[in-house]
Amino acid sequence: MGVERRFEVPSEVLKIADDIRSMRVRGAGRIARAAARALMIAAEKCSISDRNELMKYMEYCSNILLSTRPTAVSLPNAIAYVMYRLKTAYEQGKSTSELIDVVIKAATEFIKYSEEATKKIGEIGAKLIEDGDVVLTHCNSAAAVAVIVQAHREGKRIGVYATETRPKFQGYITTQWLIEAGLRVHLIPDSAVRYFMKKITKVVVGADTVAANGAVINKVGTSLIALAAKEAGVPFYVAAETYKFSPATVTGELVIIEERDPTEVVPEDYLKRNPRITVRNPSFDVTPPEYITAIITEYGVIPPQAAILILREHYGWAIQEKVMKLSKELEDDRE
Amino acid sequence: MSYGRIIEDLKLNIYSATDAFHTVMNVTREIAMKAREITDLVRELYTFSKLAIEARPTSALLLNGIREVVRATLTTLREGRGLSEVRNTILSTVQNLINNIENANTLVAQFMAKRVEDGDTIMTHSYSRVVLEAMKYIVSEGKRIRVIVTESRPGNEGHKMAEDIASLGIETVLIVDSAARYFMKEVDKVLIGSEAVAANGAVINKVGTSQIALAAHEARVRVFVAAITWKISPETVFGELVKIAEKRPESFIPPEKLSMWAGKVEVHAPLYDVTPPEYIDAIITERGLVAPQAIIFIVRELYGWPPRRFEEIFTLLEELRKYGC
Repeated sequence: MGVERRFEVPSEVLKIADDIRSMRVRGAGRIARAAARALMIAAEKCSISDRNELMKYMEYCSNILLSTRPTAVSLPNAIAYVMYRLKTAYEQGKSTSELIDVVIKAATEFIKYSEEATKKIGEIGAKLIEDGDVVLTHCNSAAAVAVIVQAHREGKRIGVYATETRPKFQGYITTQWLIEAGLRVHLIPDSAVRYFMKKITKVVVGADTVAANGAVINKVGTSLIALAAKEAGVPFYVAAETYKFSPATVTGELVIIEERDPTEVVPEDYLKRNPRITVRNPSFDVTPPEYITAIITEYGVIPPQAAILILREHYGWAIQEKVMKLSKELEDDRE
Repeated sequence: MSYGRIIEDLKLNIYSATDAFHTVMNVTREIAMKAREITDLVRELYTFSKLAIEARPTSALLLNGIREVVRATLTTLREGRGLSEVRNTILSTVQNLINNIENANTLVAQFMAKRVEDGDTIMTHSYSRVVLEAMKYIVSEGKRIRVIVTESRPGNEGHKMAEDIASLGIETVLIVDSAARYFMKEVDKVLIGSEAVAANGAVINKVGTSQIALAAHEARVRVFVAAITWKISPETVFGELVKIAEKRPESFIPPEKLSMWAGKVEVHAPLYDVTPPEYIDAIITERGLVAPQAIIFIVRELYGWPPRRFEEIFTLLEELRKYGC
């Protein structure tokens, strides 16, 4: 981000950044809330009196958080949510202490909104699940689990298949959540998805990022499941809070697919023994919109191709800001 | 003799059908050599053959190989021959089978190698002897390739496949099974082995094969299956009707999870799946490349039409059992 290190950042903020980077904090919603909380702590704990300095300091803290995970859009969205409100207040000439209050208020608001969003998705999504359905899910998505658990609470008898989700076995966490909610779970290896697809009546997965065209970036394997579902005529739903929609993709930016450490896949000594083997470990893949039946958001169920509706309605300001920044850069270039 | 360990391996731990075949033939040879009485020999051969077939009902190669041995043994028994003649018949049948199958595998590997061009990126799945042999020919023909190998859960035999490919000097990439579609756009050809080929051209192979073939089909990447004609199963409409063995949960899920989830979680890990013929570009046999839908012509060449030359294995075994009493 090119910012020189010159601010003292509270250790709690650095700890949160580290937790996100090392995946101790996982899941788009939790990452987003952790980032909002980090900004809140950064504001609360700072001893800056100059309001211009405060803006630079908050910008600096934002960049630390932004650099932790390249793919998850919930992270920049959470930060943009807070920082946009901060910048607006700054432009209105608010004082340092007022600006700090704005950050705290915005972060609290975001955390509350994101927690409620997942619950709301559960309620809306549960309506799509019918008595007797057999639902397949992949990885560990709070929103997807919310849909399944809510349907179960409404008394619908449903079967659940969970993939183990290599390399980090997040399917185990999903399995644990589902059985705690009173469901029985069938656990299968990722390679057996197509084998079992004929038993599945609906697929519900989460999302890390929803792009402007409705493509969904989610845990690697999602697109293969979507393809197998399409082949078998099984509806494929994505449960995604609107903070997972990416305003940056509206202006053409590509979603970077993060590749993680090979030792998540094989032990260190395997790599040492086999210098000719490269382990490629992408965390995500891209599911094209034509394989997605619908995206379940906290505002309702939309066809994936209508993702732009969510983006324009809820991130109009962010897109606007981006477009203005880009046109300003163009003008600067001309001069 | 107790075959518990070997049967367990055949069922769950040996992924290459060729390796499974060799394991069975070695035990068969041992049985023939060790027996002191003709009835002992017949009884042991009966017991082991039956166990081996039941352990791996999906493997047509195993079934066809065992049928050859049992048939030859029965011929000598029916003629009233003594121990040494029966023994020699078994040993020579086993040796002939091994030679024929190795020759056929080599031909298939050579044909497969010809389909690969310099600069190709190949994807493969599980552990296949023939695909590995094809890689040797590719390298010796001076073609530079890159191979993407899936780890192939449950079992992770792709880890070993990657090591053996890399040891040929080939640039090798190991990925998780889930990433097959992610990498498909970099792939020129998918090369896989097989457990069995059904009469309609469907291929039974390690679980995960069918979704890789599906992703290849979607990306218009060609899929080639190595299958010597011994792997063609004329008598069974395989499809999903065959009972597919499942890996034991404790072999790939941590025991503490299994005990915590007891009664609430069912683990399913089928070892094989069925790839429909429309996702396969060609099946490579020792008689040449055929479209999967044309496998039926090979069935006709081998077994006549309608297929009449094969004998039901359990009928043969039952007759064998009687000679052991």
